Amino acid sequence: MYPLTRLYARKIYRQKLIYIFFACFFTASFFYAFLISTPQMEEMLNINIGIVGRKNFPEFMMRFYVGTVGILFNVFLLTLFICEEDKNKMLYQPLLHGENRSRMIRSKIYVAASMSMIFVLLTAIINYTTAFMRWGYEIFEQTALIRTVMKYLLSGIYMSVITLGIIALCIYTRNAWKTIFFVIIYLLIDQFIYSSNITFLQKMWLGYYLNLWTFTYEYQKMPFSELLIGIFIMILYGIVFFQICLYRTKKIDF
Amino acid sequence: MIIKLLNIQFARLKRQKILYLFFVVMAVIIISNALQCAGSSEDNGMRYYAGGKFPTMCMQSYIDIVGTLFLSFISAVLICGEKASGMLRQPLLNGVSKKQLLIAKTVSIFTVALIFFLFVVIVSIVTGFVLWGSHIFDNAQEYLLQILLLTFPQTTMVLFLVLLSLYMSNISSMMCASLIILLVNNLFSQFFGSYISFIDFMYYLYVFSGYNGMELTSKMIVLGIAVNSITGIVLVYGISRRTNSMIM
Repeated sequence: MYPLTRLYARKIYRQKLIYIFFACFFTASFFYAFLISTPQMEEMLNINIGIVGRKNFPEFMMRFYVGTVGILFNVFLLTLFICEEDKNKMLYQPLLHGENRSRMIRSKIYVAASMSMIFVLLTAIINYTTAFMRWGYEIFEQTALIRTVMKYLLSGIYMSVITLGIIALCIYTRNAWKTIFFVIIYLLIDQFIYSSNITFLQKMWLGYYLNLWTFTYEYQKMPFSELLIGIFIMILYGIVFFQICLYRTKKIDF
Repeated sequence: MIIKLLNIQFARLKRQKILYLFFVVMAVIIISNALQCAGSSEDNGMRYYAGGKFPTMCMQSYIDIVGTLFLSFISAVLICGEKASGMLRQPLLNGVSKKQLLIAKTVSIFTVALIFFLFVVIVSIVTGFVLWGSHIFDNAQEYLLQILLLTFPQTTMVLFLVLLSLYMSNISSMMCASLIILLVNNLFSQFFGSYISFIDFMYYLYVFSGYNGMELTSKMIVLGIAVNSITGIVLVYGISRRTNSMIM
């Protein structure tokens, strides 16, 4: 691993908030697994344990991270990682030690994108662990397992692309609250587009495919064509965001 | 002096685009809630909120996560942002005491919270009136009581956010901490309501708005007001201690 990448990785994983967040997520997953089985809880939370429990539990819990909560958590971490460093004049420090801008931003991007993927996989591990503690081997039904793992991987790709978008925003705005502001607007538009019937716009929209996989095809197999188009659109967005980051970094006036 | 400081804070707040974003976000949420209620069938849960219960539903959407997150953002910008940029020190150079400055900031955040909440109530009633006519006033007594009661946990929430901002070093970590606290509180309110009702003021945001069909009994009202008042006093003490010891 390149030394700068290792340095950035160490910096991001030193954030205590990450550990607090995932400890809370584990607690949430544990409570959901063990406490939703009672009829009072089912009625109160408006869920059916027959559907969301056992083999479907990890997929049910996926929605609590992937999407709004995960994106907000990522944007707060990334603004700490980029905007705050920029503000404290730490962003250009590597340049004083002989690194070039492109290598510096590439290191940041690799660390941030892999961090997003790792977080999604971590939620998968947490959810499978709590589900196993509650239902034992019942959760490992082959079809459901393959489908759920695939959905987690696809969500990981989505979160990595969103991370690239957030990095591009951070570099453009160079301001924490402006970045958060635009991400909130993105989340709003995302909800609007998913619930609208404008097919063309939906097909071109990055977040639409995640909503499709998470909500429309919840506990169901995803059609292969939708899967391919979704991955293609996400990769396309990813490349565009990556290029924007590189281009903009070259122009930054530190 | 406090009035002058308040004017400065309000002038600063008026320039915050996030304030206007809140109005747009909440208007979109309220209209989309209204359309979902109007278009839902009899056996759908959303139908329950159509008509007289619509303002209650909108208040629940507000207190759930949106309102608190925006309020924490405002506190973060007004306190953490200024602290990080060294702007918090500026008024102190003109003879203002730390206490006066913090009072002005707390009052301005509280005013924003009040405006946010009134906006939700008024827009939900107007939207409901357009869709269901005078039926929107069928449960007026119920939601007026909820509005009144919700001012208690919201006031405490403002104090809590001010205290949190005083401890956080920048906007991002403040927002991250708020998000975690909100999610944990939501979780505990769902599963351990009977235990945390004695200590957690945020639980009453849910109870007083009838979240998830929670029943509003007179015992809960008294307990809620007591818990919020005691927590409020503790938070004020915490703010004053932190203000005195803080290096700006």
